[in-house]
Amino acid sequence: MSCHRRFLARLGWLLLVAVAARLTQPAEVRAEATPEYKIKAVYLLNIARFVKWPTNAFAAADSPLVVCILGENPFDNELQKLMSGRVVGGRTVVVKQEATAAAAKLCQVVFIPASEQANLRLHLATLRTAPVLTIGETPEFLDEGGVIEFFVQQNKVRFDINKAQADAAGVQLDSQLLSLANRVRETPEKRGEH
Amino acid sequence: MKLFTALPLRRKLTAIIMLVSMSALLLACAGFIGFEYYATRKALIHDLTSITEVLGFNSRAALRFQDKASAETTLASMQAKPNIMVASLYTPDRKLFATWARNPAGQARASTALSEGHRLEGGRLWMVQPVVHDGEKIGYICLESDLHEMTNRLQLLAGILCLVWMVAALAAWWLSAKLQTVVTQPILQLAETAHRVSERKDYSLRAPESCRDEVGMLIDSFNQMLSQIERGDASLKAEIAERKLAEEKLQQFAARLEASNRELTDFAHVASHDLQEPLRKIQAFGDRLNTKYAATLGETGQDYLKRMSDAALRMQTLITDLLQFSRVTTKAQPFAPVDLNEIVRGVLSDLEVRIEQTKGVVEVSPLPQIDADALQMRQLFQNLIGNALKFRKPDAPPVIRVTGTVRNGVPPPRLELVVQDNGIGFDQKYADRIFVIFQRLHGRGEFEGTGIGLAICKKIVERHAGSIQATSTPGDGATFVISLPIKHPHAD
Repeated sequence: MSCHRRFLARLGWLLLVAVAARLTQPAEVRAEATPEYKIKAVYLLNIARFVKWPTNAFAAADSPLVVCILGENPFDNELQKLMSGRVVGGRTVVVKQEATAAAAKLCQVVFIPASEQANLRLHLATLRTAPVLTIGETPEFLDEGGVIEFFVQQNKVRFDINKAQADAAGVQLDSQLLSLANRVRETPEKRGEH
Repeated sequence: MKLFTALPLRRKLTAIIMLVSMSALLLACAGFIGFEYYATRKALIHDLTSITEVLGFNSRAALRFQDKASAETTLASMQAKPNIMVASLYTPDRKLFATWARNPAGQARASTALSEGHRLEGGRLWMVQPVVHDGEKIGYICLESDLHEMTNRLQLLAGILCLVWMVAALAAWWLSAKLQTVVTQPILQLAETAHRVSERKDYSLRAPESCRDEVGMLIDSFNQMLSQIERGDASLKAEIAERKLAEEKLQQFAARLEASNRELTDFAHVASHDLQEPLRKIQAFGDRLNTKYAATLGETGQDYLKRMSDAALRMQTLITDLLQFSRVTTKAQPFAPVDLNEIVRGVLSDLEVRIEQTKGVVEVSPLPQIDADALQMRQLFQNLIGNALKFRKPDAPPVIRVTGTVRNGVPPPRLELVVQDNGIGFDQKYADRIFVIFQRLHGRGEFEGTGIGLAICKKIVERHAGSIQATSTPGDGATFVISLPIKHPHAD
């Protein structure tokens, strides 16, 4: 009798925990993207809003602002959903996925996911001279000549900025954006050290 | 207002000047403070708008990246603005995102009360503005500014203006006290002069000359009036002195006249009294001679004796009449109400024999009662009716009419007595002479008499403050008109 009762109590607890878990879980959580990439997608959009490109970065005055993902897309459909129909700095936003850095040279924002770590140095070398805002998520991204590097600290997505590279690429970053950065690198990186 | 009207001119003028200048200054100060409040408030709102705009602009990235720490850092820059008490950022759906407060007690504004624009409330100025980035409203910024600076500034200004006002009041008081003498001094001097003139009755005083304004003209006129009064006063005084002198002379004359008149009356009275004594002896011894020695005297002697007796009798009548005449004043009785009908009845009964002898008729109309000396009224009627009987026509019986009429025409009311006869009359030219003592119009042979009767009548009437007049034509009777006052103020 007592055994039966213990079983019932255990079953009740389980039910309670399950309901609680169901309640606390965000409704939007699906298989599409992790919360981290959702935030990173929003960051991409917001960063673009605080950046000014030189006029030669665009083919025409009404050309769209092109955001490219180099290699694999870690956002799933999230970035596309967020960006489509947005207007930033008077230009509509277009999301593209490119396989090569050379092709990405025509984009204004290029996100290089961690999956491209192996080709990172090559990619950045290709993009270095183009008026492109490069955004990465690997620890050596800035050292290799990237402009903005995402990292996760205390469960929060943060970023460092390599202002020297931005200046070299002719991409102007808003001072407010700089003030939000964890670290801002002002001097050009000495490549010999790596 | 009653208190104000009782103030001296000087005070009144000062009070008016003070009241006018102080109220004008007060209005100006109030206007100044009002304008200052308006301008300061406008400037404050303007400043706060700028600050809010800048702060909102600086918070765009923080709002975009939902970076609360960064937003709080940005808001904390308000530490440098001592007026800003609370600064808060709200999300577009009006949820509080980040806040900074100067004091720990500072509270972010409830999001429900969030409305764009500024609002003055409870000594605080609230400013809410949307934060717009890239054409998109990304949140709201709300600033709460303390108005202490403005209130302090206004209080300081009010204090300074109050001080200025008080200093101005003192200055206005001092200036008005100095300047009002220009107006009041001549008036006060004028008043002072007028007061002295009326107090001392000294019309030779003059108010001091003043400037050529209305007051100056007033002073000139006043001085001219004083000159006129002075001249008039001098001539009046001279006239009064003259009159006094004349009056004195008149009084002396009157006193002398009275004295001599009294002497005369006394003399007449005493004389006639004393004259009677020897006359009585003459008559008495004349009578003895006639009774005892008539036979021995002979015819001539008797004739002489008769003439002597007649003369003595005449003299006695004369003396009696004279005594009566003098008694009108010496034995005068005070006036008392007298019934004239009774008086006339008495007189007629006295004269009854003579009326019967002459077959005369006396018609008397009802007469009123007047204030008079009863005895003298009797004398009056006795003489007048007696005269009418005496001077009758030889061929016709006398008809005498006595009437009395009350005349109210000119107050006081008077009685007009008329005694009319159908006698011989007299020439109108003698109308005045008949009232003079001893004056006779006829020879002693024609009518006996002393010529005193009418003089007595006139004297009696005059003593009663009346008048007597006679009119006549020879052979057609005479009319005596007597006017007497009905009332005498001192009658009993």
